[in-house]
Amino acid sequence: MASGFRTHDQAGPVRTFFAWLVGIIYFAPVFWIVLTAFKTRADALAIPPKLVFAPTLDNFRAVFFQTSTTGEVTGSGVWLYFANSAFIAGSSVLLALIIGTLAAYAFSRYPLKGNDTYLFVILSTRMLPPIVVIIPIFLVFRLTGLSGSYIGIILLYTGFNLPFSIWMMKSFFDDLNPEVEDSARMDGSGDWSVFGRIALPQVKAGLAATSVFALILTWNEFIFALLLTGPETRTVPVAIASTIGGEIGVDWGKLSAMVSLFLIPVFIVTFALQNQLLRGVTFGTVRK
Amino acid sequence: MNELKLTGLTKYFGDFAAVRDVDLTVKPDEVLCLLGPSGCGKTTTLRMIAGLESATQGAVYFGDRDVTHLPARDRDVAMAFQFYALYPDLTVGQNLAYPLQAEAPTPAESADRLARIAEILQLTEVLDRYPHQLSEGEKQRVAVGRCVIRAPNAFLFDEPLSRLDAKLRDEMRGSIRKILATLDRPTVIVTHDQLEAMTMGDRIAVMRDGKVEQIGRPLDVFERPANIFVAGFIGTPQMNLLKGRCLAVNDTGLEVDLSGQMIRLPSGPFATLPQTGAEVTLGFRPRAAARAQDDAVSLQAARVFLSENMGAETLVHSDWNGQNLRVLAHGPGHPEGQVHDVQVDPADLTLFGADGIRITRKSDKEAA
Repeated sequence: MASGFRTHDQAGPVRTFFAWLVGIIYFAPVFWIVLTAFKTRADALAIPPKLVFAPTLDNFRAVFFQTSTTGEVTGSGVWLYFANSAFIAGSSVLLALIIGTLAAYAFSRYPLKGNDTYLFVILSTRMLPPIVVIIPIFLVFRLTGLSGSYIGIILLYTGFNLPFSIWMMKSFFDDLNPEVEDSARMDGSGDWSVFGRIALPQVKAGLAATSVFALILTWNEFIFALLLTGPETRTVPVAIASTIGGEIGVDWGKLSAMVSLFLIPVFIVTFALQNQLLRGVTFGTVRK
Repeated sequence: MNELKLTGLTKYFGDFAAVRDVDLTVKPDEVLCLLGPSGCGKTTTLRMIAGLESATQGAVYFGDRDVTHLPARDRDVAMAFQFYALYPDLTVGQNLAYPLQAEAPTPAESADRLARIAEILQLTEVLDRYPHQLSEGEKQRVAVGRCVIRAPNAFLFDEPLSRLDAKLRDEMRGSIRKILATLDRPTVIVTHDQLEAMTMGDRIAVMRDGKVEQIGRPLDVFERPANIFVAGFIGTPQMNLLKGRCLAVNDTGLEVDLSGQMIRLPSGPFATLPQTGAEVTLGFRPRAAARAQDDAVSLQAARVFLSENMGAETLVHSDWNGQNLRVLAHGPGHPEGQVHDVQVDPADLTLFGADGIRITRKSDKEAA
């Protein structure tokens, strides 16, 4: 009933319906990819598309193993790409989180003259599309020998994630009651102790939200990975792209199988942090 | 133990003077209440004592030691904040024990002190809970407990009771007073509530616009307010303040024109007298009107416009020649529109000069 009062009861059937509808629309592409991963080539290309079909694991087999012309079956080396993705994304998100949180705390608690200008300058690096800077970065990487190395791509991703981490974490620190930290100081704590024991535990939700967002961006990044990683440091998005093309055209089944596998780690992390994440993304809206 | 001393303490925020030239001494066994309306600089003064705000000028001493430039963590001062400032990710027990890190007593002694404080403040049951699981009253007790668990150079309380409901506030006022009596350290309480200041402070410092207007024992401040501001700020209901002009002054008395009505006051009790033609303000407490005698000053034909029945007493607001009169009367009655005379004993009148400063009485010295 449209009484105008906000209730804390369960949503009515209409709202439930729309919630489901929106959910399904958002989830449909993912669902379709996972479905295709279990289809044979014929089923995947069938028109009209098939919802009911005999599932097969051939696509997943094709992801992990390759058959040479002599009929010999060997590993496809896809594990390396997954390991690369996990290592590169994990390290750069962690680095960005550590540096970003420290910087955000400093910006929030010890403002400099022209604090807002610094913050704007930091964010401005994210205002241009990455493609604009790709040539200079490519040249810099070639000159410094960072091309194809882990350290190069990790540094690059860390740099990309930093502005976002700083801004996000600063807003969380800004929302804290500074009296709590004053109190800790009066109780004899030094700056590091106030930061580590008092301030940091209060922004757990912010750390979770920031790391998930940064992780998703980094995990999915394609262009820089394509240009700046070598055969040994290649990430999954680049490997996925390389399955497109070839003599049989796009192998939709194999592509979908790889994408499905690629989604799993992000799903797991997001679910693990779900409670914190919800608090994290609604933090500012509730408090202000 | 050492006293707490402020000399010429001043704080500017840009061009704005938040605190101006404050001189105060708080003895080791004394509770001083900083009282004033919001924005008068009382919290800034407290934060300067705490070391959370730097002083623009002046100094803070603990005994002979100048601590003006010491950071908060090295001052060893305990403070209870207005919004409690409990550590949200620590349990009640960890919150209470947090300040002990500075003194680093043995674990056994820590546990002992924690148990004692928890018992006094009835927090034993909730030691394992987190602040967000506590009631408002419990949070307030944790804040107080975290403050008094150690033996610092001074105790500071910022509006300690402002967030409690009326009933809890009455209870806590008593218990805090009891705890403070055992502490033997200089204590400063900031409050905007004059009832809190009157009941909890050994002395009150009334502040306005960053300056201390008057320091004194609660009753002295109540009975002999230094100026019109203090007179109006201390006491509920507020003191009546009537503007007038001094028409004639001689040895036997002074005549004051109050909104066209002539009032005669005996001049004998006053130590000094205003000049003829000077503007004066006559003040008297609403309660004083109720016990008026025959030789009273009579304010005639006041018209009641609001009658607030408070149970045992009624606060009667009347209009008297365009000036507002507040009188406390016994029992109900006094309907709106009624016209009545207000009688005040001349001994209950406070006289303020044109500068707003109270004109002293000869009896002041004996009382003080």
